[in-house]
Amino acid sequence: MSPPSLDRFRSRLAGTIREEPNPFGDAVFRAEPSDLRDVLRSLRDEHGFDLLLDVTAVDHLELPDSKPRFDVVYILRPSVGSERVRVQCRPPDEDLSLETVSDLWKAANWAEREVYDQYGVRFRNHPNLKRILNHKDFVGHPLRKDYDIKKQQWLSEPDDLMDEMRKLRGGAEGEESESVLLNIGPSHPAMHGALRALVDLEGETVRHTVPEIGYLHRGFEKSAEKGTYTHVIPFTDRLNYCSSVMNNVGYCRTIEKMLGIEPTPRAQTIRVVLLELGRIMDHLVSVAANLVDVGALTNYWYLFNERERIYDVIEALCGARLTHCYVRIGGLAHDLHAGFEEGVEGILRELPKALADVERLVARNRIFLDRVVGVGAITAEEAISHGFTGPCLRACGVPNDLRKDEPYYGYDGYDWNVIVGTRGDTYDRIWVRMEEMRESMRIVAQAMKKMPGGPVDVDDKRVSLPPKTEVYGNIEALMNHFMIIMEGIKPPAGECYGSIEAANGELGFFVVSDGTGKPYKVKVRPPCFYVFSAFPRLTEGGMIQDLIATLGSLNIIAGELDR
Amino acid sequence: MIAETILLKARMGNTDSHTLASARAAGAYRASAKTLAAAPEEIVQLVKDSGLRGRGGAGFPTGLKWTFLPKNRDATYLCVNADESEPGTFKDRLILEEDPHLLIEGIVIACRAIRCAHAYLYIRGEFCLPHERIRAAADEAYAAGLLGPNAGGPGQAIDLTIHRGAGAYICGEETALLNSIEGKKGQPRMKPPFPTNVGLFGKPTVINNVETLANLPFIVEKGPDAYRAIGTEKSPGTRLMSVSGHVERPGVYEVAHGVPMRGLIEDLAGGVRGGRKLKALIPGGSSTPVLTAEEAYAVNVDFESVQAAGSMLGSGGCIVMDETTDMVWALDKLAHFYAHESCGQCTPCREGSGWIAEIVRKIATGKGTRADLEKLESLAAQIVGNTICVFSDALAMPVVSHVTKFRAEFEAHLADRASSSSAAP
Amino acid sequence: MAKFTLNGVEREVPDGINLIEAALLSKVRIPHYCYHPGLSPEGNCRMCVVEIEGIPKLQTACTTLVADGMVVETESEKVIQERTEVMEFLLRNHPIDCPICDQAGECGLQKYYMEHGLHDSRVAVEEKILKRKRVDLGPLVVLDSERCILCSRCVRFCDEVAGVRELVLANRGGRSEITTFPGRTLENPYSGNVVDICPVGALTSKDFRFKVRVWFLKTADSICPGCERGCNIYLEQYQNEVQRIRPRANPDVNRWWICDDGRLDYKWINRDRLLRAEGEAGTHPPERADEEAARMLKEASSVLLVASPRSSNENLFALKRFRDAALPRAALVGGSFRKPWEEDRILKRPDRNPNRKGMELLGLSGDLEGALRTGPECVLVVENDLLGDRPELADLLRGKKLIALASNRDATAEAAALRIPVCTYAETEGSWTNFEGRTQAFRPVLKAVGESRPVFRVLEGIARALEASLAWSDFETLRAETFQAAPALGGLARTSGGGAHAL
Repeated sequence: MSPPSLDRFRSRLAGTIREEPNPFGDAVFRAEPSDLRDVLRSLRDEHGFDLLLDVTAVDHLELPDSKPRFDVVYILRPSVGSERVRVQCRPPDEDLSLETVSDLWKAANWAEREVYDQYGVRFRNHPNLKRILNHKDFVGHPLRKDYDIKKQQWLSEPDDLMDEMRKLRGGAEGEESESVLLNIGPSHPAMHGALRALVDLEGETVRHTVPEIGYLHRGFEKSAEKGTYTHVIPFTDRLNYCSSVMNNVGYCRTIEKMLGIEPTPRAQTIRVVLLELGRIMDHLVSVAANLVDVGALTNYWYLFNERERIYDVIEALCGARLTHCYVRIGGLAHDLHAGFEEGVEGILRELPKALADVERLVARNRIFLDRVVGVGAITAEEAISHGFTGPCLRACGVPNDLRKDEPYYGYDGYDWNVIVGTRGDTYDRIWVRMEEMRESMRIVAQAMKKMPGGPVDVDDKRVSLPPKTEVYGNIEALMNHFMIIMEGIKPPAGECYGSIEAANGELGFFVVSDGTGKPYKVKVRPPCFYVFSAFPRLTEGGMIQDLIATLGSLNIIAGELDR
Repeated sequence: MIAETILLKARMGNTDSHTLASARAAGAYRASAKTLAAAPEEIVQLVKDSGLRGRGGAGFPTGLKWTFLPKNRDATYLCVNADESEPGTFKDRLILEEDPHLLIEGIVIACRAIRCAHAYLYIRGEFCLPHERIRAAADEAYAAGLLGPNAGGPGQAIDLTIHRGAGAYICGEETALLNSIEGKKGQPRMKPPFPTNVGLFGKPTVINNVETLANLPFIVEKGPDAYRAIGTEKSPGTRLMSVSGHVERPGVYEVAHGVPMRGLIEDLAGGVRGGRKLKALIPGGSSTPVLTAEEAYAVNVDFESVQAAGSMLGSGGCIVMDETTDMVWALDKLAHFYAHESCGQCTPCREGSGWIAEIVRKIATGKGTRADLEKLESLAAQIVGNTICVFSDALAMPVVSHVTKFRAEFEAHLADRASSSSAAP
Repeated sequence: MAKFTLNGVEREVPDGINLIEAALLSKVRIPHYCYHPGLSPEGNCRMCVVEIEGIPKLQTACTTLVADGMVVETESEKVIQERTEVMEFLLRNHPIDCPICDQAGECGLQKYYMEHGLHDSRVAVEEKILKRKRVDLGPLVVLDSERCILCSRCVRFCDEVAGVRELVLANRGGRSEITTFPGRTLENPYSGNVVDICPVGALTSKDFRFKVRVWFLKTADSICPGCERGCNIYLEQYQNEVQRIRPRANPDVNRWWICDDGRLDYKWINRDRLLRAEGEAGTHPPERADEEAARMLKEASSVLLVASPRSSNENLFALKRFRDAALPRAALVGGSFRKPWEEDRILKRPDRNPNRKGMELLGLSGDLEGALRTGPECVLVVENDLLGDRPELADLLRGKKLIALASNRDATAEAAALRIPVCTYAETEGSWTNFEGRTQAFRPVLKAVGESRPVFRVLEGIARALEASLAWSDFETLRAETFQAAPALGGLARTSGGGAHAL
C-alpha cells in the first residue's frame, strides 16, 4: 500500500466529498450519512488511513449552525506516519442514527458505544450498542448541552452483564453448561484500578470475557465545559494520573495550536524533560505492577524506589507528587527550581541500576518467561484495527511513535530510538517499556544538557499572565490578569485535534471552541481505552492467570480509560 | 535699519485716542460710511482683492472665508475674537485700549459685507482696561448712531454685544468661543459642520480676529491696491508684532510684512537685552515651533518665509530668548500652560497634556530618565491627529521643536545621562 | 438607502444613520465609549475613529453619517494604532481598582484593553492624578471620579432623557470631574440609568455595590411589573435571590431606560415570601392545601373569584377555565385598588399594574368593589393584595372565607383563612399586555421559592380536588390556548434589540 496521501484522497474523491476549511489547518471532510461507510472504507483501504483514532460527536445546540444538531466525528491516522484526517457527518435530527463501522475497525465498537452513551446517537447494526461509561439505568445523554451538569441520578443496581455473556455463549437460556462464570473486579487488587471483567471459565481456560468499564467516569468532558480553558488543566492531571504532566502537555499543546503560539525554547525543553520523566514514571508503575501480578514482588520495590526519586524531584518542582498541574497554555506555571538539575542527575544515575537489577532477576527467569512469552499475543493488524497506539502497538512490531512521526519540541534533534517488539505478547509489552525507559533517560540527559535560558512563558498578553509586580503596579497588567483569569483565554472558534505520544500511546484532545473563554467541548482520545477494548480478544482462549498477566501489561489506567 | 510702517497704529499714542471725538477727527468712520452705499458683494470682493489674511493665528484669507457663507441664509452673525490668550501676544489689547473705534469701524464694515445685523465681541475675562475702553467706545458709537438700529442703513441694524470670557484659553478657539457665548461650557465643537454653515445659535457665522477687522477701514478707504502695495505678495499689509522676552524694548511694533526678523528684533526692539546673544525665538505665539537663533535671523516677518523655516507667523507673538535661557524650563512653562488650559473634552489632549507637562517637569528637575525623554517624544506624536480641535497640535509644536532643536540641554538634565551621548550645554 | 463600502465589502444600509450603527448592521463592531444610541453623539472619547477614503484625518464614526459611496476602513493599521493610543491615554490616570470595583466583569476598559490595547504600561502609580473617590451624588448613585473617563454619557442622559440639569462636567483639562450642579443632587426618578450607561465603575448603584460579582449572576429576560408600560428588563440572580434589575433595550417600549422605582422593585421577590400553604389548622403540603381550598369553595353558597391585573395572561386564562370547569356558578371579576402614580412624560404610566390591558382583553375586568359588596361567602383571591391596597376593605371582607393565592405574606394573605404560595413573575413563565396592547413575555430566573407553584398549577390542583378536569401538560400548551382564546392579545411582541448600547 502506498504511503497515505491526503492529496490523492482529495483528487480521487473530489466532487463526492466536501472538504471543510479549518481555521487550524486540520484536514476535515464532510460526508453524508449515505456515503459515510464508503468514504471511511476508501480512506482505510485505498489511502492508508488504517488507524481509527477516535469517534466522538459535537452537540451544536448552542452554536449558530444547530441544524442538524449532532455532528459525528471520525478521526483517522495511518498506523505509521502522521497525517491526520477527520471525516464528519451529521445524522438527521428525525432519525438520529448512522451505520456502524465497527466491522471496518474494531476500535469503533467501543467508540460508538461512547457516542451513543453520551450523546444518544444510535449506530445501526452495532453488535452491542449499550452504554459504556454511564450506569446502565442512567436516564438521558449527559454530554448533550441541555443536560444540566448539576442533575443527579442515584443508581446502584449492578449490571450482571449476562446480556452480553449470553450472546457470547450462544446457547439458549437455561442450557446446561460446564463453564463457570467468574466476576473479577472492580474491587480486585489485580485489576489495577476499578476495572471489571466477567469471565466464562472452562476449567482454568477463559472461554469468554466481558469487560465493564466506567467505574471511574467522573465527567471530565462535561466538567471541561463549565470553566475556562485553564480550569481544564487540573482535570487533565487526573486522566492518566501515573504521568500527570504528560496530560497537561497534550492538552496545552492542542490549545496552543488553536491559538497559533509556540512555547518558548526553554519551555519546550523543560516539557520534554518532564514528558520523558512522566513516561518513565508511568512505565515504572506498569512494569512493577505487572511483575507483582506474576509473582515477582521484589522488582516492585526496586522500581517504585526510583519512582519515589522522581516524585521527590517533581514535588520540589510543582508541589505535588501525583497531580502536577505544572503546564500552562503558552508556557509553564513557573520555572525550574534550584536543585532540579541535581535531582534529575540523581534519577539518571540510579534508575539504570534498578532496571539492571530487575533485568537480572527476570530477564532469564524461567518462571517469568513462561508466564509472559506468547501470552496475550495479538497481531499488528488486529492491534491496528482495535486502535492500539503506544507500547502495546510497538510491541506488535509497528514503529508508531509520534515523537518520530510528527516530532515536536525538538524530539527529532535528540539521539534516541523507537523500541519495537516482535510477537505482540505480554513479554514484548513489558520489555518495550523497559527499553523505552532507557531511551527516555537518554533524551532527558540530552535535553538537560542543552537546556536554553530565557523565559518560560510565551510573550503574548492574550495568554500569559503578567508578572505580579506589574499586576499590582499598573492598571493595564491588572486588567490583563483579571480578564485572563475571569474570562479565560479565548482560542478562535472552530474544531481542532492535537496530540502527543503519552506513556500509553497517542493521547489526543479534540477541542471545539466557540470563541469564548469557556471550551465548548474537550474530548480526550484515551490511548488505553482502545487497548482495553481488545481485552476479550487478548484473553479468550488463554488461562485465567494469563488474563491477569496480560491485563498488567496493557497498563490500563482507569482515570484515562473512564475519564 | 528698518522702521515701523504705521497703518493700524496711526491714531494711537495720544491720551485720548480711544475717544470717538479724537478718532473721528483723525478720520474714523469715513470708510464705513462709504460702505453704506456699497453692495455687500462689492465689499467682499474688495477684501478678497486686498489679500487680507487672518491675524488670529491661522492666516486664512479673510475675503475667502466670507464667501463660504451659504447664499440663502436667514441670519448671519459676526463674532469678533478678542480672547487674545496666545502666550506672547498682546496686540489686540493695544487696539482695544488705544483705538477701539478702529475695531468698531472694522466691525461695521464686516457686518455690511456679510449682511450681519448682530455682532458679538468676545473679550477675554482678564482684560480690564481693554474691556472698559471698548465698552465705552461702543456706547459712544451707539449714541452717535454708528451702531444700532440704523447703523447699516435705514432699518438695517448693526448691534454689538460685548461678551466677557471667564479665563479659558480654549475659548479663543472659534467653536469654543461660540459655545461660550451661547452659555455653554467653553469646549470646541466638531468640524464639520463649519461655523460658516452652523455657527452661533446654529446660524451661519464668521469669526474674525480683532486685528483682522482693524485692517478693513484702510482697505475700504484706500483700496486693495494700496493695501497690496505694502508687505509681500503672499502676505500683504502690515503686521502688529508683539515682541517680548529678552529685548531692550519689548512692545507692539507694526511692520510691513516681509521685513527681516532681525530688523524687528535689533532695530525696533533694541536688540537682545544687555548685549547678550540670541538663543531662541518663538515667532508667532507659543503654539508655533521655536526657531534657533540662526533660523530666526534667516526669516522675514511674513507667513511664507516663516512657514518655509518650519514654523508659523501665527498670531505674531514674538518671544525672544537669550543665551541664559534654560530651554527645558522654557518648555516646562509652556507645557504647564497647555496642561492647565486643555478643555478636557477629548481623551488624547486631556490626558496627554497633563502627562507631557509632568514628564517635562521631571526632566527639568533632574529626575527624568532617557525612557522619559523617549516617552515625551512619543506622546507628542500620539496626541495629534485624533482630537476635536487643534489644541493638542498646538501643544505638540513647542514640545517637538524644543526637544529636537535643543536636545543636548534635555539630555544634560537626565538623571541617567551618564549613558547619554552628548555633552553639557 | 445608502450604499457604502465597509472594510472592502459593499453594503446597503438605511440613510441617515451613523457609521457605528451602519457597521453594526453588517455585524462589524466599532469600539466606543461616549457614543450611546439613546443620547446625542459627542465624539469626545476618540475610540470609534475610522478611516474614510479622501479624508486624511481619522473621523469619529459616531458623528459621521453614512453617505452613498463612502469607503470606510475600521481595521486599518492606522485605526488599530490609534485605538491602542486612546486606550493608553484613558488608562493613564485610571486607578488600580479592579479588585474593589463593581464594574469588573462588565467593564468597558477591561474589555477594550484585551481587544484593542494589550500595550505595556508606561505609568507609575504615583503619577496618577488623585480625585474624589466615594462621592454621594444622590439617593441612588455614588461617584468615583478617579475611574471616570469623562465620556459625559451621564451628563447627556440627565439633560436629554431625564430632562433635568443635575450633573455637569466641572473644571477643565486633566482635573475635569463629573459633579452635581451646586445645590442640586442626582435625584431625578431615572437617576439609576446613569449607572448602566457608565462604561466604567465611576458611577455605581448604592443598591448593588459590593453585593455580588457580576459573573456569578444568572440573567433572564423579563418585564417590569411596576406599571402598565411594561419596560423590558433583565432580572439577575445569585443563589436563587434576585440581586439587581437592569433595563433591556427595546426601541418600541422603554428604549434603553427604566425608572428608579422599577429598578429597585425586586426586594419583595426575596423577602416575606409565603413558603408553604397555611390554613387555620396549620401548614399544609400542596395537595392538602388544594383539597382544603376545594372544600371551602364547595361548601360555600356563593363564591367570588378575584382576578388581578398583576397576573399573567396565561394565569388569567387558567382562572377563567377553572371557573368554567370547576365552579360554573362562581362570579369572576378582575380589578385592582392599587393607587395610581403620577404619570411622567418619560416612562411611568399611572396604572401600577402590568396587565390591566390583558385582563381587559380576556374579558375579566369589572366592578370589583361592587362584586365584593354583593356578599359572597367565599372569596378566592389570586395575586391581588386587596387589603394592602385598600385597608378599608377589611370590614367588607370580615366574616367571609378568604382563600389567597399569594407569593408574599401581604395583608390579604395574612387575613386569609387559607393561603397558598404561588410563584412570582421571577419564577415562572408568563406574558403581560401593556397599555398599548403589546403582549410581552417574561422568563423565569429563579427556581420556585419554598413550595410555591405557578398559579395555573395550583388551580389544576384545586380543580382536581373538586373533581373537575383541568390540566395542561406544559406551559407552552397553556400559552397556546390562551392566545387562541383571546386573539386580541396579538401574540408575543418582539422584546429585544436597541442598537449599540453594549460596548
